Parts: sequence; C-alpha cells; structure tokens
Amino acid sequence: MAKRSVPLLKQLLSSSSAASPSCSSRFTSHRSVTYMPRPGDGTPRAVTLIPGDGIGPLVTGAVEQVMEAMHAPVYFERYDVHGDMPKVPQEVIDSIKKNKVCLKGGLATPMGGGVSSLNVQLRKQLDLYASLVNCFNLPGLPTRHENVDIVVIRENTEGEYAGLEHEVVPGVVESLKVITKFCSERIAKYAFEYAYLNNRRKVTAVHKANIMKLADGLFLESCREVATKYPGIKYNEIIVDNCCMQLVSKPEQFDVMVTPNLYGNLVANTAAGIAGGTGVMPGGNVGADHAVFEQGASAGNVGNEKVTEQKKANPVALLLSSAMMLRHLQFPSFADRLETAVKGVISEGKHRTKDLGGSSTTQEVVDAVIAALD
Amino acid sequence: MSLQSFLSVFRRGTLFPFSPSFVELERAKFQHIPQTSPAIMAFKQILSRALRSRPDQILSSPSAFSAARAFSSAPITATLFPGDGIGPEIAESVKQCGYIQIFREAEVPIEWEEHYVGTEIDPRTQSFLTWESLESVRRNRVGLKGPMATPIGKGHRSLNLTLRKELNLYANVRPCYSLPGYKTRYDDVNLVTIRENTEGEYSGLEHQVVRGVVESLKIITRQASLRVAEYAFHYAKAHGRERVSAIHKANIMQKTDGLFLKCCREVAEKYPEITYEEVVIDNCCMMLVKNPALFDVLVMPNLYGDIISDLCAGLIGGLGLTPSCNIGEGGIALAEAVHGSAPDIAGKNLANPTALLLSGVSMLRHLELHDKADRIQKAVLETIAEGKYRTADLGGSSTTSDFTRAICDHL
Repeated sequence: MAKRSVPLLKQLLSSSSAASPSCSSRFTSHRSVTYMPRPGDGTPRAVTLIPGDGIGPLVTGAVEQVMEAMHAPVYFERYDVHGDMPKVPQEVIDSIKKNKVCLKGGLATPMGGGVSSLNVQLRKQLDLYASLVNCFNLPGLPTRHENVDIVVIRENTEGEYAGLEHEVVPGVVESLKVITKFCSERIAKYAFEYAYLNNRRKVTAVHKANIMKLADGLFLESCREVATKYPGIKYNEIIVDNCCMQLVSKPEQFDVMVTPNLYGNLVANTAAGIAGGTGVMPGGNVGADHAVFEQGASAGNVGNEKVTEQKKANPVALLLSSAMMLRHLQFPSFADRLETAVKGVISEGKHRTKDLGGSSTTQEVVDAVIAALD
Repeated sequence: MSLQSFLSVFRRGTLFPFSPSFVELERAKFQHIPQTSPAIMAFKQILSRALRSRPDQILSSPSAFSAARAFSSAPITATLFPGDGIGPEIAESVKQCGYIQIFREAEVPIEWEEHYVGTEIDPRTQSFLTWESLESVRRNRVGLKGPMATPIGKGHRSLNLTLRKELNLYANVRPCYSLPGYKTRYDDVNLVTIRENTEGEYSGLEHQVVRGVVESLKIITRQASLRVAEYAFHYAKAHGRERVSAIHKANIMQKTDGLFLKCCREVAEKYPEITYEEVVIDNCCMMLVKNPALFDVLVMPNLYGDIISDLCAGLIGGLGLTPSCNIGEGGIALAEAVHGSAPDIAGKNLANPTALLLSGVSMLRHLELHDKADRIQKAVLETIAEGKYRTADLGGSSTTSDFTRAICDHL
C-alpha cells in the first residue's frame, strides 16, 4: 500500500496546486527573497519631482498616482521649473542635493533663442556625468527588430555640448568640442562597472576617430585602458556611421555602448526607435552623488501640443524609469511589481497610447497599470 | 511644335536662361569651341531646342548647377576612376550597359576616359592621384568613381580628401529608395540626403590644449551653408520633390546650427512651392527608424549628414546598393560608389555592380538625360526584383557578368 500511496499523494498534491486560486492580479512578479533590509529602511524617502513642460506634468502625475497606489515609501517634493527660465532655481538644486534623487519630465528649450538648455545645465551643475538609456523589446509590442537589448551610456557633460561658441567674423561661427581624459576615463569606468554589475558581456565604444583623430582618439585611449582592467568583458570599437547602419540592420550584436556626448544622443534615439520608440524606454542621469531619472532618450520628451491637449502622452517610459529609481533607492520588490505590471499592460495590448499603435489616453494606461499591480 | 510655342520659346529664350553663363564660358575655354557672340549662340541654342521639342529642358535654368548639354551634339566625355579591388570589374559592367544603350539610341554617346590611381605620389597633388586625372574631371565636368583603397602610410593626403579639396566638392547627394524585390525591414523608403561636405565638424582642426584636454573646432560659414541649401532646393525642384527638411541641433549648438538654419530659411523663401521644415536630429533619427516615409529631402551639415546618410543606406540594404553623387563648384558632378574595395573578392567576378550603376544613373540625371537615366534604373531594379540573377551579397549566386547581361537584356 505504501508503494501505491506515494504516486497517489503526488497526484493529489499536483492537482491541488493546479486548482489553487492564483494571485488576485493577472501578472505575478518574481519575488526576490534574498533582499534583506536594514531596520529603518522602510521610512519614506523624499524625492524631488520636476514636472517640466508639455507632456511632463501628465506623465509625472501618472507616476505619482501609481506610487500612491503601491504605497511605495517615497514622497515627492514638487518644484516648478520651465524651459524658458534663465537658469534652474537654486532651491531646486538644494532640494536635489539634499534628497540625492530626482524624477523629472522634459524641459522644453526655446529654439535659437540664446537661452541654453536647462536639461544640460542641470546635468552640468550636479555633475551627472553618465546618461543611461536601456532600449529593449517589450514583450507583446511588435517592432521591425527582434532581440534588441542595448544599454547606451553617454558622456553627459562635455564633448559637443560644451556650449562654447563664438562668431569669428560675420558669417563664420566656431563651436568648440572639448574632450578631456578625466571625463572620458570616468565614463569608461562607469560603463564597464555597469556591465560588470549587470552581467553584460560586451562593451562597444562608438567614435569617429578616423576623422577627429585627437579628440575621439583620446576618448578611445581611455576606453582601451579601462577595458584592460575588465578581462571578462569583451570590448570593441565601431565608427558612428557604421554603428547606425548596423543598428538598423543587425541590432542584436550590441550590448552596452559607451559614447561621447553627441553620438550618444543619436545612437540612443536610434536604438530607442528600433525597439519601440522613445515613449517606452527608461533611462536616467547619474553622477557620483546624485541621480536624476527621466524618460530615456530625449526625442519627444516634451511632446507636441496636440498630444498634451488630448492627454495622450505615453507614461510607460517614466513609469519604467521610476522603477529604476526605486531600485536605486533600494526598494527592489516595489520596482519588480511596477515593472511587471507595466510590461503586462503593454503585452496585453488593450491600453496603448498612439505612439504604440493604440488610442488610449494617459489616464487609461495608468488605471490599467494600477489594476495590474499585485 | 506650333508657331505659337516656337515664338514663346524665342521670347523666353532671349531672357536670362540663355545668357552665356559661367559654365558655358568655362567649357568654351577647355573644349576649344570658337567663341561666338552671345546672341548667335543664344539663337543656335533656341533653334536646336525648339527643333528637338523638349519642353522640360526649356523651362529649367542652366544655373551653375546643371550641366545641361542636351543642346550640344558633341559627345559627352566622362572621367571614370575604376578604383581598386572590385573596382575594375564593376566599372566594366557600367561601360557595357553604357555602350549597349548607345547602339540603341544613337543619340548622345558617353565616352569614358579612364584614369587609374598611380603607384607613386604625384608631387603636384601630394597624393596618389595624378594631376592629369584631376584635370580630366575638371575638363569633363562629370565623373564616375569606383571604390578606392587609401594606402596606409604617411606623407600623403587621403584620396577622397584630395578629390574633395581639389575639385571643391561641396555637396554629397545620396538618393535612398527601397529596391523592390530586395526585402529589408523597411519597404517604403524614398528619400534623398544632401550633406554639406567641406566644413562643419570635419574641418580637421584639433589641438591639445594641455595634456589630457583636446579641443576640436566645428566651423559653420554662411557661404557654405547657403551653397548647400541652394543646391538642396534646386535639386528638390528639379526632381519634383515636395519637401525639404533641415536637420540640426540648434537647441544646444545655438550659434553654429542657428546660422545653418538661418541660411536654409533664406533659401526656402525663394522656393515657396516647396514645403520647408526643421527637425532636431534626435527626433529625426527616431522618426527615420520608425517611419522613413515621413521624409523627402534632407539637408544637413557635415557630421549629421554622414551619420544620417549611412543610416538611410542601412535602411535600404547597405552600402553595396546605395548610389552617391558629389557636386562641386561650377556644376561638376562626381558620382561614386561608397562601398569598400573588397579585396577578398577582387577578380573573382562575384562583385555587385549595383551601387556603381545607380551612381552612374544619378550622374546621368545631373546631366539632365532623364529618359536614359530612367531606362537604366528601371532595368537594374527589374533585374533585382525578378530575383533570377542576383549576386552573392543579395542572397543569390550569379556572377557579375551574368548580372550585367541580365540588366542589358532588360534595357
């Protein structure tokens, strides 16, 4: 009888577990049991929130709603900054220095108007020297390219964005591109460290050193030096025009890409475009002391008037960036829950905004995400 | 042609379009045409034009851009640089198609003047290209260049740089259109990228300020920006394109790209029938990979142009299929195939001549021989669309000569 009871017991147990009621949400997230918090880690953390211009207030509002629904231990200190201010107000900078973490929407730069971009100013003042965009295929979202999982790490403070321009004589304008060993080295170190900590296999440096031999040559030298310190990570170099060509034909070959400032902008937007658009890619800027999270790639982060009026902006990018922020603040299970809910809503396909091929409004997507939280 | 239209041509003909422009005078110098008086020249041109009855030719103005030679019956000489590696084989296919075309039409023949890259440095040009080659391009006004491998070493300028500086090639035009029959992920690409070729970030002016700090200068001048903007709008008008988009990053680089945009706006006002828009480059990249049908003609400074034109080449299938044409001062056009010289398949009759053939087509369009250009282009596209004869890089197994013969059959 003992011989027959074991398989019977096994059958009973397996059928019971199959029939057991699943969790209340449709999507179950992975539990990370290994995270052991220190006593007192659960006190709510302050995070500076800058709604920004255009679609910014819409999408940051979406994040606030979701955070409340999750009862995440963060509370937001709101500051109003607009793109046409001459500089970022000192109180905002002080708040970010106190809180160390900030979430922001896009700030619109008036074109050709002598006002330098506030986004760039913020990054330079807080020395957020690394900008990170994670471009990956979302399950359930059809795109022309499959198997895309690229992280673009871009130097954020110097390069072509130094802002040093002058008119030599009327009709001739010069702009200085500055590359220093100090900045190139620290961005290369960050890229390899990121690859090491996130189990990435390959780092690719993007450059144009065949034409700009000294400037991009210095950047490459720094990358090569740092690469020797990480023998387990493969390193290669690619020229930026070939890189863009490869991105549209064979994006699977790229893993982590480290680039100077301007090329990083182009490569990040191209990579975001092939994997689903800038409306869904998370990213942020990080420095030694502070971190500012925003929509990953910069195209369309302010949106246009039509989208703002109709309230059809895509909140997915900022929601995924806020999940990155939660992990940065060491609340991994909240981050997991948020990510699972957002990815689930996208893969279902019922609530998608216009840039993903649907017709929902921002609020509908947010409600769907809140309903999907477990 | 009726008397009415003849008279209207005559009336219109005595105005600006037929004044002996700089191009005609220059050509007269080199080709030893006896310098007749402007009035007689104008009358001869009007007469030959009227008799040939080509209405589209009459309306186009032979400004310094187009080398409109349809009214001259002298044979067109064009310089051909076969180049290295697979260059000579694919140049052979171009010549074959050109000659078969001649026998059928018996109208304006093209004679190819071949020039090869020398094996020693010519002191007059400081590079491997001889002075005679450059003179021949200046004389003929049109040329076709195959892939050239720059020999590694010091003490000489790169071949492309020599050509660009000596011939003052200021605009690089790359028409990108999806080849029907060769499936890529993008099916509806039909755009033209026009890139400023002389200044911008590629001026080569760099220096080390102190150890570990390097500065590189990006230069934008009003003159060069106006020149390339003029060419872009002229091209759009001549080829029936409706929209010109200027690509920039003027929100960050306000003075440099701001100057470029100002020049584009000035030129746009002269062409009210063409829509003009300005797109920031990161938006442009994203829109190109999501929906390339949104763009028509793109005009850009040097660095952005380099990246965007290669991105567009990637959209349609790579550099092996993309034609390209460099425009110089005084109406010089040097069409070139931008792919590499592929030394590993040189001499094996495996190379794909499509890029060089399509570049030859854009050269013919520059000469305003639109019907011949259309015929050759149609033949190439049909051959690829059929799929029976394709070279190895397109997924087939034909040789270069088979592919060429198939194209000639389609002509």
